[in-house]
Amino acid sequence: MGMANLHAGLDADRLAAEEGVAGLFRARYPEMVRLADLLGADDPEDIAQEAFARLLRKHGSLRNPDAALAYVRASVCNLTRNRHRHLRVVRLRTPSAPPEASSEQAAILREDHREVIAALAQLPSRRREAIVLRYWLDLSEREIAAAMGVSQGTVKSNVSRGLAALALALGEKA
Amino acid sequence: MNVLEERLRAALQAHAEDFQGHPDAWRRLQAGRMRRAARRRRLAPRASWPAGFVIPAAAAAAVLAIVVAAALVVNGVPGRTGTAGASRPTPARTPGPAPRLARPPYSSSGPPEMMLEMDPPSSAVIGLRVPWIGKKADKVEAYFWLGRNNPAFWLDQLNPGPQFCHDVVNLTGESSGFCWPLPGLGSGLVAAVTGSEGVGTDQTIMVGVAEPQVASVTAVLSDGRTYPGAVGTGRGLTDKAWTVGYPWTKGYPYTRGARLIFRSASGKVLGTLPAVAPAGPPQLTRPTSGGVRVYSYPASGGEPAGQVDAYLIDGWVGFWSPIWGGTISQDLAAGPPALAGLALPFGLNRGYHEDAWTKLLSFGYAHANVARITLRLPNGRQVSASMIAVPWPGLRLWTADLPVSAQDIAPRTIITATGYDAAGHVVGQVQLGQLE
Repeated sequence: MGMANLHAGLDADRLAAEEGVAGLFRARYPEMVRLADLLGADDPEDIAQEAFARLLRKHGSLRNPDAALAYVRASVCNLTRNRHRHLRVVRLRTPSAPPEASSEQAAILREDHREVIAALAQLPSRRREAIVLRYWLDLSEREIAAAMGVSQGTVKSNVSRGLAALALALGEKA
Repeated sequence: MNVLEERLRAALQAHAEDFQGHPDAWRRLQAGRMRRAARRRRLAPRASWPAGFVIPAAAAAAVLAIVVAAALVVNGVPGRTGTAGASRPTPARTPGPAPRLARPPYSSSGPPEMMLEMDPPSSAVIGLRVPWIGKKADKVEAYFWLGRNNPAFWLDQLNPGPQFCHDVVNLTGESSGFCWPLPGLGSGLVAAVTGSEGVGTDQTIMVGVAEPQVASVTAVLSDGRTYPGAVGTGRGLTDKAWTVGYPWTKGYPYTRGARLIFRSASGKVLGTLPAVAPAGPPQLTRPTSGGVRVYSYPASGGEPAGQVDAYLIDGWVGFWSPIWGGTISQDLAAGPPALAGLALPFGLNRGYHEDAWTKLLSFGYAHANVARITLRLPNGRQVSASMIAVPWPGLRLWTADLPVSAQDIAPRTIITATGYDAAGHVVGQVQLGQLE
């Protein structure tokens, strides 16, 4: 009996955790898909789903909703980075043209935006992450550092260098 | 927020709005969980993966470990940027009356007020002039001061303590600059680069600090052209400030092979620095000859045998390997750090997102005074590198072969390389960095 109750308690915990993740998913999934997209993921939805799936496996994180969101955000960054590694190897072995925005996207985005996004895509992954987290999600340095898994000093350096490189590419002052 | 930041925000917002999640994503996620769990079971690590140097066809998820640390002073671009006329992301005023500023000795204009508000001066503001190349009558002015840290500014929060600020103004009124913690001089480092600014479309202005005995700085290009700079100091400045300008190569705000020479009042060369700007190294082309073999790996899993070769090209050390499709690293050979390198994990790619490294190859170069190098992993394990003699003046190469477990080199693992001279003294230490 005691064991049965324990199982029942665990099931209840898991259900509560899943409900918590589902709530976070409803609120933040589109944002995480967009984040993965801005970080250059070739399949942003898969990245975002994997990030939430990992959160589901970490039930304890749900006790603090802020920690859960930070965890998902960091997972998106890590997964996108890992995906880049994989893609780099694939590209090295199977030379192909770099991915381009679809004609529909191209029609929607203004030329200026496309220029900026193209310049952003040329940045090393760390700098790109720092720039996107700072200027799209408006995260603090501490939050960016948590998402990237680096020190705040590294965040500062990546933002600064990223801006400098963008300024050079776009012909502006950083 | 300056124009670049505004463009950036607008572009990110527009691009993000164009991307929506699938309406059925939650159900797909739930279904995916089961598939992923099954895949993890299928891809569980082998009980005994060969310990040798193996690159399976589907594996080869090789990752560069970027050398961080010591190159920061030279490559560094630092903290925050400021541009005349731009507003700050987080406007913040330092309490109390504005400091009384010393007048720059060479100009009536001075740095823009925005820059002075960013980190208010705690020293004199000094101005140094260098020629605007190609415009005989014109000068470029670089201003320097020690600034008080402004913790209300988000980019200032990390670096308590004084900031070394510069602002470069050309005579059309364009200005740019930033502040950054003072780099530490000494231990043979007589000068450090704290920043570089583009002037017009054809000139780079390098700025930095130097020890008191430095009296002059000159930029020397690889073709022998020289460009004199200026050195100065002022009340409250703990180091001398210097600036020098030289023409840049299109596409990069520096000129390949340029060196900065620092001399004493008697003309003695006290030290040199490579003139490196923030945009990074040039795109080197692999020479057809003159390479040094650093490492060879056998054919395996359908992959051909390969190698890592190093070349010295116009002062840059570059490493190539076919498996990475070309250049895998390049660093300036001259100037600090005394040693540099990178680490490449080889291993078994266990699927879409999970990589398990089984081997770590580290290699790099060192200055001639480095007699031996030790690599230290976070678990405390230490490995001695093999030194490779090369026909390049003042340089040698090194390599270390580390059979390690995935736990040893988890993402963001820091590997420290320490160089010792013949007497056993530490002459340099770098972190081979995060594995990515």
